[in-house]
Amino acid sequence: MSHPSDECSRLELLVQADVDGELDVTEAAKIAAHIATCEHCANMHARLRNLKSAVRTRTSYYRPPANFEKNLLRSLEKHAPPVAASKSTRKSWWVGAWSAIAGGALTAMVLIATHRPATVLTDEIVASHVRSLQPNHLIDVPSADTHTVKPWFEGKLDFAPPVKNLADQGFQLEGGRLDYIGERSVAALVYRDGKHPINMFIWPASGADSSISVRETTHNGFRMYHWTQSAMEIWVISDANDPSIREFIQRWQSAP
Amino acid sequence: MQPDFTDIARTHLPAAYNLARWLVRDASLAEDIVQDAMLRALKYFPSFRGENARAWLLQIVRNVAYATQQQSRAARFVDLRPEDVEQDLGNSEDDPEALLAKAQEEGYLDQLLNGLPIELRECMVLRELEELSYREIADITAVPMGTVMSRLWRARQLLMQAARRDR
Repeated sequence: MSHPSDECSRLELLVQADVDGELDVTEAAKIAAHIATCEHCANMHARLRNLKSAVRTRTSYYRPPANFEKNLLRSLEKHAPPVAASKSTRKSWWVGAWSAIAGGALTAMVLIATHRPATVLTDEIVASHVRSLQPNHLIDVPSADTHTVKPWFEGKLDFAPPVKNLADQGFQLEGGRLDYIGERSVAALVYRDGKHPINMFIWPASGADSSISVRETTHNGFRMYHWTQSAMEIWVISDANDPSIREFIQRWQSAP
Repeated sequence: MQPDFTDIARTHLPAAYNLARWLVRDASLAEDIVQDAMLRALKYFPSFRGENARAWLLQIVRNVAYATQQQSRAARFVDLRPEDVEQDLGNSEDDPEALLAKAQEEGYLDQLLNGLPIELRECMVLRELEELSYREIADITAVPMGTVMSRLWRARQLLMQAARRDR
């Protein structure tokens, strides 16, 4: 049995941040080294980790009642001021560009990237994602079984999308649906990361632009990830946090 | 395409409702708060130019919920007392698995979480149910990141302590 030292109480918030996945590599290594030699902090680390997983899996996530949602959206539409779409886009681009210049080059790159002509595609992906979150829109074929989901697409698409099972890695396959993006029918797979659905869109790649490295785009506040693999264009969109989605993508890419 | 506010509202409604519901601990009050917050958000929307619509909306929901809470305090919940934490900090040699057994009981963790003071409960919900980063939580709750970290710490110590007590 070891007793907490001054160093332990100094490190406790970092032990917690490690459990929360908030540390960079250097800090995480420092905490790992301390835990290896300190029973007290190792124990605290384990308890925090257990608590985290218990809270994530055993507490209620309250869903808005369907009626409430319907009425709310109706009243929002009623209150919404009419906008001239093209004019307001132009204005918001300039406002965005100015704040980006103030905010630094990185933001500027993201903003410029989101305003290339490719926005039509990303618009459609965002729209499909948003639509899918409405009750009963997420899934046409609800199944965690790849052998059910894969054949379901046969005859509906002119290609066979890769459907992978990642349940062991914490990303449950929920099913699939047919969607329409970039003027063609595409496969949409739905996975779940805890409370957050992950929408994955798949269609055959057309050009020579084939790269498994993931490109990230932010569009209308949604983060999207795009890569090409096995001659398929793959897009992922979700409001799960960035590290979780990156882990999902990594595991999906390397799964058989 | 200019993001349409209705799309944003629809997308983030579950998060907005979940947060409101946890903050005020009452289903119909939560609806009132979300309704009010969404109408406010719609009004502010022309000046919103951030990238993180979810954090922005949750911040508005949170502010409306706090304003409502000050008018009527729900008295049905037995609060865990944050001042009890300090004396117990040294007592962490328990079996890390012990909490898990109790947590499996239906509704047990809900009840514990509901007993936390609002500012601790809020941090836990944003962190564990909405999976937001420290930075985002700090922005939403308008406190420094260090405060978010120490609130999460206190919340978790209280939860573990309560689970040990109830074992």
